[in-house]
Amino acid sequence: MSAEHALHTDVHVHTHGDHGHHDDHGHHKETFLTKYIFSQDHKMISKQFLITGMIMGFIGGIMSVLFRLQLAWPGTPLPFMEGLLGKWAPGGVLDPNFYMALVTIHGTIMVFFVLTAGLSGTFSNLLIPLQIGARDMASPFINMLSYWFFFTSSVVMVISFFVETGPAAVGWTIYPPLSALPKAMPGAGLGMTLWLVSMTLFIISSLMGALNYIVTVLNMRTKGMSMSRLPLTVWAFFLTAILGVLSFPVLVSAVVMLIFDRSLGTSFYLSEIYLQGVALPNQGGSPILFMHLFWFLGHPEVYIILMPALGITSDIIATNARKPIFGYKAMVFSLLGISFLSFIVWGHHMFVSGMNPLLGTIFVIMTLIIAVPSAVKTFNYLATLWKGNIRYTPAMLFSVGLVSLFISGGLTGLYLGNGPLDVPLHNTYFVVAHFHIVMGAASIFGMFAGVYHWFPKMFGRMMNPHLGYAHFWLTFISAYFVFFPMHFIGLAGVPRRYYAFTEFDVSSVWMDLNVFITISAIVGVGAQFIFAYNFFSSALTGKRAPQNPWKSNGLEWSAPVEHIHGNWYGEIPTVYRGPYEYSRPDLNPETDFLPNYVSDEQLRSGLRYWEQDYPYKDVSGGGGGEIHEHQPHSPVATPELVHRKDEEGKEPTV
Amino acid sequence: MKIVQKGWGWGLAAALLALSFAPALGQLGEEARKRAAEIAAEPTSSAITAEAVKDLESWVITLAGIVLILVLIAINRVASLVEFAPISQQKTSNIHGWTFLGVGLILAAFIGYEFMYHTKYHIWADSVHGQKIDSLFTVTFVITMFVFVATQAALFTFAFLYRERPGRKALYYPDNHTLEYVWTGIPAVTLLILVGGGLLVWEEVHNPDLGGQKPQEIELVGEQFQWRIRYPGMDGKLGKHGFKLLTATNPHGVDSSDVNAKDDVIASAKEIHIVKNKPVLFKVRAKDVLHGVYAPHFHVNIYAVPGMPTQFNFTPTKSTAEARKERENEKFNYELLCSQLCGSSHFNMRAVIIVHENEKELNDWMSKQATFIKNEPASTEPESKATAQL
Repeated sequence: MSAEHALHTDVHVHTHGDHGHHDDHGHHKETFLTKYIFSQDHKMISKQFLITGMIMGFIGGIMSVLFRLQLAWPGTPLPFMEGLLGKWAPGGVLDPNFYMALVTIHGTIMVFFVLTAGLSGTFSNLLIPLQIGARDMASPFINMLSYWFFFTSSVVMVISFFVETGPAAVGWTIYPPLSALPKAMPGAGLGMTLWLVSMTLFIISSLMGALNYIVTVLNMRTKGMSMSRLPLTVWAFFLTAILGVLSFPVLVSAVVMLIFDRSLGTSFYLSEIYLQGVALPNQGGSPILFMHLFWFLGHPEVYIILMPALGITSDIIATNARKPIFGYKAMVFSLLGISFLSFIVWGHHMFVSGMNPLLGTIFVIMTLIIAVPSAVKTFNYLATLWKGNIRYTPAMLFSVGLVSLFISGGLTGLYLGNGPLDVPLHNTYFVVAHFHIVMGAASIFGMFAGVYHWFPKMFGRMMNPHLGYAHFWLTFISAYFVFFPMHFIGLAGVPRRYYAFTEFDVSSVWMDLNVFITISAIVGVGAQFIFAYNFFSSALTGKRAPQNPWKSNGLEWSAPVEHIHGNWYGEIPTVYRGPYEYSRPDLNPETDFLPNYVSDEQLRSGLRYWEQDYPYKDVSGGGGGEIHEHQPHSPVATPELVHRKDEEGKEPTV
Repeated sequence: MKIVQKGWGWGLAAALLALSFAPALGQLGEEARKRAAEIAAEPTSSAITAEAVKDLESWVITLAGIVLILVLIAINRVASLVEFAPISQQKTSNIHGWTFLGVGLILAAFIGYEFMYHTKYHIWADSVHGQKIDSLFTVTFVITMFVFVATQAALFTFAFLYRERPGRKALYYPDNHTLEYVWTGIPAVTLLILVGGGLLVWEEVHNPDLGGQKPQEIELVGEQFQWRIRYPGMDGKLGKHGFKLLTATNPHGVDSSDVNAKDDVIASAKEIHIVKNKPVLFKVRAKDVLHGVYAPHFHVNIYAVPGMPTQFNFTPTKSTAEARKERENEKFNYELLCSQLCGSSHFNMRAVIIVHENEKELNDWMSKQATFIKNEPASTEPESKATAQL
């Protein structure tokens, strides 16, 4: 056997040691504390990440409604606001300082807590072991710590709402000197300190998670799962983790220096400042330094957010179009290209910061090059859909929605990434439109797609598809209604982060459109409550999931529906091919999928148990979300069958 | 879809209860607001009433919570009332395939509407370099719009055409290297064009050909929350400055011992006076935090950075009078905004840029302004020392 196998066996023994006996599952007693709270099981940790991320997402989403109300009806007293926010909305009118706090925390929560931890944390944890065939993460304990650091950091972030000066209000990019001078605005006081503490904890969590993901993907793949057979989800999570490991520490350095500037009187970012009648002693620092450090994380961060969503949708689109993902290799290379390039484009956030224009030219070149792999991905998605047999599950709807948003938002990147075009557009609503579509909406669509698709893997139950459909169409239309008009506001020269549009001629013409956007935003946020209801009610009372509800090829669907430590009874299945062999012409026309854990001998034997023996037989003639009764689990997962499969231990053909 | 006859009573009851609470909630909220207004009017007797308002508020919140729960119960009941008869996945796919077509058309109409009615405020620059940016914008717009329409049309069409139907089988088509090369190559070449154009215009923005004209220097200093504007006066040279010289009466920190400073003009109104077709050089500083000098009509945008002077060169091509005539708006003004978040009143740092028809108009205006030395007559020793220390 190969070295890979030897390594695999080692790891196998190791996990056995950690978890006791897989075959004795059921006798092993777990307390509530070890099962639900300090769980070391990757499936439970993924659910913890997801639910925490969702709660944070709702906080962030409701915040956006609050500040959208102010933008649509500036200065109009809304009595319930006072009830909700107290002194931050005296007389029902939002305080400008608190408006900035809402904008800041909305951004922070959405970027870091929802779309980084909530997306990457959830699906990396759930899918990496299940899709590569591992019992658990390389270090379940560090995995658990990763969640609890994330949880603590979320708590600290939420606590900052209850301090007297309010939460951080200096924008999610926390540019000094504003963020370094507590006197400059209330939101730069204790709230800012808590923000920095929270972010430090978050980065610790993120590093722990990312290192775990990398090690697991590299070392713990099952027999036959070569890198060239990795599902695109795992490729995306793997590269995302590498980006995180390389870029988050730079943010730590930036944050630590900021903490020093705030508390210890250093001058990393401060120079020649005269604030409220006092000339400060700081000299020699530069806010530009902070921008460089921040965006060195900040730009890879965009791809840390987006790539898992792209990976998830690649998988879902292939599954539901019943076609192999078009150009698997090109998809991997484009992910690699994006990952590499994402480190050398950060300067496009700083074209007008006073950075040397010569440096700007380099960032123009690099930024526009990164559009090439993104374009390749789009075309491959389209080619995958072409002549497919598209099954619209809620997950598939969100995936197609993601492609649409990815195109719309990606194209406006060509404006902002091109230095001279960025000059009139920098920090305007055009930017807001761009990144909300391409990074916000597209990524959250990927996250929803993932939740709908792998919900059966998480809870062993199905989500209500009808509520899923309603959720999708409302969200999709409101995403365009909210963000598309913002392009025009930006092209008319309205800067972002403005408390009111009333003070300038260029902005006051947009009041009617602001009302339209706000109403759409309320509808969009309201639609998320459908999702929340569906999520929690399905988790508790949803229909039992069959073994392989979407007739998917992925290894994860060979694991038993109920959660066990170690994921599989008996030996871990061997992988014989890539996960995207849908609608192979050499198979019986009635079979349009071929799981990657089915060997060629089994295929020739004509048993087709992955199809025939599946407990779920769709009486109405399709797959998807129509499962009406609980069925016993597939024999695929039982020890006998797996043993039969693995006896030979044959070297798989690549 | 069929109605299941169970549990509807609870849903109805919850909905009715929620409805009946709503007026009470409104009343309470109104009452709380009234009392708050009374307290504001009469702060002397506020101790007790403030307590009462708090009380009332907590009532409102509790009641709102109850209403929310009732509404949720109602939704839950309604959801369980209606049980969808099992529809096959194929029928569902068919429905959503058609919906993609419909929604695609709706979105196309919406985007079309946006382009028709909301491009009228689009700013085409009234400055030399801005017009070059605008031509690059147009090229980029044509290219991206083409790609946008083509790919979105393909996406929505495929989503419709290839929806699941009885007897359909997907085409097994995992790879095509030629296609991959084509759609790597075409974007790459297109982007080369955009990069090339971008770099040329970038050069124009930062290193414009002024035709030998000496630009009119204007100092802009950002502070929370206004722009400070200083002109060099007749000598065309801005006097020295230092941040340790900043006081309430010397908001630019001008060194009064510097000869060049004596005729400097510090504008009292938030107006920037420049001349049509004459290059302007904004010398930008910030006192406290980052600000952004943003004049959208001229495509001028540069951060004001504490401790690091920045600058931006541009040449206006229209006077304010011409711009007003063109827009048929007598009140139109070129505006200067703050583009980088600087605090609570970031949204309110307005200054106006007035473009004069010719130099004479500007000089007329300038001659009416007080020079720095009139405001700050005594050239004092300590200040020059402070400058020396810098």
